[in-house]
Amino acid sequence: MNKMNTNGPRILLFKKEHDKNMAERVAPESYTVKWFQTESSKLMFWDTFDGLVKKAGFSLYSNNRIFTLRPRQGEEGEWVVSLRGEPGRPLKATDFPEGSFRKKLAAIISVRAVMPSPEILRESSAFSILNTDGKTIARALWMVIYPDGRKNPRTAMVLQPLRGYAGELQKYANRLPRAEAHATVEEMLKSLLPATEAVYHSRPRLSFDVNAGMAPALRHILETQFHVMLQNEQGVLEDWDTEFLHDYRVAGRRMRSALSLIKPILHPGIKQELVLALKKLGRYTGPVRDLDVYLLARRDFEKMLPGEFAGRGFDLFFRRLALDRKKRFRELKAFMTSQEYARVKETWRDGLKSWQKHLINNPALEEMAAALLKKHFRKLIKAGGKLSRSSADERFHDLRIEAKKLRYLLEFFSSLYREDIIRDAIRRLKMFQDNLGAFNDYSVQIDMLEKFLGTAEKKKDQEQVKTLSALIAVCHREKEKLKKEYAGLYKAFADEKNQLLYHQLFGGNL
Amino acid sequence: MKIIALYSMKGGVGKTASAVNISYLAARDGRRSLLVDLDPQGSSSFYFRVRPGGGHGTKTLLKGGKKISKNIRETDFENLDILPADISYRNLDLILDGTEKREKVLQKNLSAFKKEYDYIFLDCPPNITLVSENIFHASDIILVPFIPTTLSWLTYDKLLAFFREIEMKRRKLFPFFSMVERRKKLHREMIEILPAEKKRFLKSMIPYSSDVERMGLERAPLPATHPASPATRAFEHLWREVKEID
Repeated sequence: MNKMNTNGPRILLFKKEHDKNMAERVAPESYTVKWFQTESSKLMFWDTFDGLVKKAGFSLYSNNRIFTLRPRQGEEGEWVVSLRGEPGRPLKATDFPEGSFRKKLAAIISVRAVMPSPEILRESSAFSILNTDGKTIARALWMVIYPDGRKNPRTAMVLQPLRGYAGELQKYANRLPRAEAHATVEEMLKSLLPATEAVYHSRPRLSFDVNAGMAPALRHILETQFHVMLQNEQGVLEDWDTEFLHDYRVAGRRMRSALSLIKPILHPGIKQELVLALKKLGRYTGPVRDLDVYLLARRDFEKMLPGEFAGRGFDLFFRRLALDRKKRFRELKAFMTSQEYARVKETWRDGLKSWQKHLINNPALEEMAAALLKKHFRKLIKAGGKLSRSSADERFHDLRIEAKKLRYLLEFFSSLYREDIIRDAIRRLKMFQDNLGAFNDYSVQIDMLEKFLGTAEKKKDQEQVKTLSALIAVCHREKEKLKKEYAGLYKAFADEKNQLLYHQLFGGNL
Repeated sequence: MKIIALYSMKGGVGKTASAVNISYLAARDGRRSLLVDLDPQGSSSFYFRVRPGGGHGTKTLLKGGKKISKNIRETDFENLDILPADISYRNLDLILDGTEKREKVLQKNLSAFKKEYDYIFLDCPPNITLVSENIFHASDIILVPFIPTTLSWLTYDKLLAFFREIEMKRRKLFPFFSMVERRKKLHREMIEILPAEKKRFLKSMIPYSSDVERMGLERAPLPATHPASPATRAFEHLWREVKEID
């Protein structure tokens, strides 16, 4: 029985395929069914690689060229926009016309691109159900859905009782064949899509066999991060959005950090081989990412610069950066489709496969993890305490690296500790790291800008010189601001409460 | 939200046809409308093919709010709901008599729908009783169908007198000619002299029409089934005039 207990629409997906006449056949005697027009539409669902739309509780779908963004059932709001051109490729928020739809989408997916699901073909015929008096008691839709091309159609019905007639419609619904009920039509259609892989996580939470020791744990860490790299590979190659490369690089850095921090486990020979392979990759991915960071920050720079500097020179500069990025990306792509890159991956695959062969040590997992975390926390506190506003930039860079090591370790071994406590520890560290990270970004940018300035000066391009000098000044100013803020952030990070937290987690004296 | 009553002390003057047709026209304009069938005979309900729900009755109207809401039915036409009549309304007067602030019960109970509807139309039973007094209090506009005859004039004067007696604002009253037969001399004469006499007469005139009579067979508002009929045009004119009233 298909129970009808509310006044909302009932969305029923039938277990078996039925023909349209069924809608009439099941009607109680003296009831009539009145058919209206039939429409067909093509639907696609969209989400980012890491499922941001879904995670935010939204649904994004396109019907031909009309895009609809809608919150989960029961929540207010709907944003609709029509897009010109072929909507078959991944789309970023900036690909949509300016307006509230784009704003809302950007708030959800940021710089990521949404990608289409396979196309669903839907034919829907509207009909009404009339009772003995010829009174309409419900408006309804008969749907034939083709989730994969023209094969395997499914049939569904949407029943919307008119106010005051839910009870009467129940008589009709009771006679319908077996069906599964869905909350919304979109949700029903989504359920018909081929099962996709579990939602992607750039930092999957790892679980270990605590009794097996550190060696298998390290292998698990590396394997997982290697998998994350490979998951992002296609997105990098197709350049769908900048975050594929970012996640790809971060996974690589985590692998390198794991190898160098968690030791001695592997034979130095194989370790060197693995690290070198990753370094080779970094040579191609690094320049593209640096340019991405710059291009993504265009708006922020625009805001920071006085109007007179954000004119033609500024435009030209960013156009140059975009061109440069194109060139660097071509080089990266060439590398990633080369034999050399295939060998990098082979090195890693072999290394992980022949793991046992290269082991020289297998310490107890929990003890070693605690010792490592304690050591790096202590190092960070100590080195951080020595820094002040007048310290050299290099000291801040070193501290940033130190903080990153601790962050990675906390993330690798998070499953060994209570989730809420470890989350709190990561949150506190992240606040501290953000300051150091921003500081580093400005330093990198100053280096890059100075190189551009040199060229502009040689070319006697006055407008460029003006813009670049202004940008360098802005970066310096922001950097100094961050240095000024550092003392407060360090104090918060190194306070007693946090020390106690690490002490409780990892034991011993700090 | 505006409450508009179709009222006359006389029966058979075209109250129900007007209530059904102008509530339909309001809904067609995109206004969320509710037609309340207060006539125990339930003709409005019949025109919309709606039967009264079980357990609904006088108590519903007296209790108001949720009780009323539960009995509201959606008609086949977008934006138009109906609260069907109930045979027990014939006792409404007796029951109202025993309640506090007895002449304002309907007003209070309908105020619960302020947000839900733009217009509430009341199809009223023909008489002057406590129910009518409730209707007068609750309504912003009272439309009085008026067949151009001497008897109608007399009845209308009685209504005005009653309004004076209960100190009700006569400004609410808007008579309009209904079931007009141009070939009748009396009708023509009345139409000529009455509006000068009674300032609040609306300009619209609903002609006597067999199309209106057929509504009982077709069980739907006239503009929905006979969009080109002269009577439809007249109701459209009437609705345009009514919605302009402040």
